[in-house]
Amino acid sequence: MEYVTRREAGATVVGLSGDVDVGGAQQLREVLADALAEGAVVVDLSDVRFIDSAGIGLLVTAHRRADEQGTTFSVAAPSEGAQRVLSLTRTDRLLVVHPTVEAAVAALGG
Amino acid sequence: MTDPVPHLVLPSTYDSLAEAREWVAGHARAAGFDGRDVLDLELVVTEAVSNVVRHAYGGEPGRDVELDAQTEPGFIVLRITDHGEPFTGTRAVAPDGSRGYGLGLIEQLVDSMTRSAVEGSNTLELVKHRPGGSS
Repeated sequence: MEYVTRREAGATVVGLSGDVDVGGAQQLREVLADALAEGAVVVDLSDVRFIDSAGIGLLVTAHRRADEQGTTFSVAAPSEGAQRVLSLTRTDRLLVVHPTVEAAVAALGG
Repeated sequence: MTDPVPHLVLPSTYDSLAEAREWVAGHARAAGFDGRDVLDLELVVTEAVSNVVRHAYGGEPGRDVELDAQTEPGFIVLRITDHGEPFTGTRAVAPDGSRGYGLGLIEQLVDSMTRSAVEGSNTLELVKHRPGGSS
């Protein structure tokens, strides 16, 4: 797993890429916690080739934490592989999923 | 002569997951699986090996995780074998009390799932048919 974070319109956009599995869970947990400490977070899943249940679980945990903090957490542009696992775990109904990063940032309302 | 079933032994760490995926994907493609079905098998083996590392071996590194990929006309049989604690049926709940998605994912993605615990070896046998493939 690799990641890039950038600030955009008041949100932190976390771009994940490659294979996201339990081996990278500790790193992903820290990246998401750091991002949430700054406020709204969008996770760009467009370059994720593969994600496992541990990766999905961390997205759900971040979503819940954002709710508790009164901030926004969403995922954007899931790749085919990411969308498959979001659907199988039905977490696409729990998480806020936007078709593009632009849509996710726009949904923050500026 | 029947070809021997391809066999791979990996160390019990999460670092083995990428190799497990690559190995299973290669055998699945050779057996005619493609696209989403290969990805599904990668997910299945990742979840199964993760469970072995975390639960059967309790995070202890340096133990063996054995994989077999038996390809037959129209289907593939994956066997994941460990020599740790046998599955008790309660592992779907993670130690922190959260509900894991892993076992549910495996169940959704294969056509049959069989567990055996024989003489210190625990084997999870998973069968997945190829869409449109004869069996």
